[in-house]
Amino acid sequence: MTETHLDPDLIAAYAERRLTPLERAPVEAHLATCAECRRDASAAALLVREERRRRGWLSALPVVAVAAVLALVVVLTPFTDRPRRSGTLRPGDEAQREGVRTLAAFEPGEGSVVPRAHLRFTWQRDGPDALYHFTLADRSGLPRWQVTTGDTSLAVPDTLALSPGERYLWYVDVLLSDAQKATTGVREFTLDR
Amino acid sequence: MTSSIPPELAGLIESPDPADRRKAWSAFLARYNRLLLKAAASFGGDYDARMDRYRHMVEELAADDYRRLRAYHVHSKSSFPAWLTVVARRLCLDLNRSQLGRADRPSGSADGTRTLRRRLIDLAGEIPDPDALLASDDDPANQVEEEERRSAVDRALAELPPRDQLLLRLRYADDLPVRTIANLMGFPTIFHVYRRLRPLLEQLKQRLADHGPPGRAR
Repeated sequence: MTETHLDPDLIAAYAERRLTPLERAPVEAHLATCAECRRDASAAALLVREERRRRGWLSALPVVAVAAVLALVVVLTPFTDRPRRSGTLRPGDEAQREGVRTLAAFEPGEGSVVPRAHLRFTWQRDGPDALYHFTLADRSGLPRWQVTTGDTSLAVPDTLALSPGERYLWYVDVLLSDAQKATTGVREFTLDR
Repeated sequence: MTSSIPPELAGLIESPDPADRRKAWSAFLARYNRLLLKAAASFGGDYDARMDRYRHMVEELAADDYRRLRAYHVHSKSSFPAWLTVVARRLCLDLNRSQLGRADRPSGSADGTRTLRRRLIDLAGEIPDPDALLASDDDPANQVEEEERRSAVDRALAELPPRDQLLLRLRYADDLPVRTIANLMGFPTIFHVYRRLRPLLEQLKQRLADHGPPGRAR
């Protein structure tokens, strides 16, 4: 069996609808008979769709960021005068009081219910060399998992025990090269049963 | 249509200074980590398996002074992220094959042909023959009939234009959501996909009736 596959450029261009009808026909003829290239093409098409969606979202980011900051101020204000228990989590309100910048948190969405298999944390990038300090905590605020990464996306390790139906908190802090801080503030989600 | 080279890639393949290239490589990874991790995750497996694939991709992309990445150029028709998605998937597949042998090479079942035949026969509305359902798979007469049925489906499929064949495979062999198919094949909406599928199934039903004996879907 000979396995000749399409050039990645052709598959990607097909998925992005950048081919002329004349160029498209032989690509479709190959895709009709090659499962591997079809899978490549659908993966590229999915990426294109996500990018379009993300660009739409990012264009609305300034408005969303202002709304998020306002919401955080409203939500966190009642806690500001309470004495803090040692070892509990309240970095978001501290950050707000100190006037640090807000980092947009993308997923999981605030208050969302997420299946374990789809649990992935993503947040806004802040400069090319930024290091992000990620914390996942239970609802009492006790950290369950902390990690430092240069990436803006994280999946929890399979070894981390999380309880279905439980609410969890997460946040990301970043220390920038100019010694300024930015944070997502504390976000909340529930692990799906 | 041609594409422009993204700055992260330009810095990597155009800079003569190795120190600059190393810096550009870090910037490249920071920009495309998410895409690479996603490609690694799309092949399933546990955390270690995904990280193995990720490491393999990173090593291969950097190998021979970024030889693979140099294949993308200003005359490429696709955007760089879409191109990188395909390249990353192929690197993952290479690793899977080197680890598991060639077991995942497409065959009649792995490329969805068997699923496609079965689903097309179902969708074309054939009524299973109760005697055939009770008959043993080892019965030679039954096997001949089964083979005829397969050939009839394959012939009917082969007579369709490639675009229609692709549509049927994406929908019934690969089980892709209609929205993804619409995006991939350039249908304006999902309704256009359904609108094309309906007459296609009718046409297949007719051709199956012309070609071969009705019977049990397999």
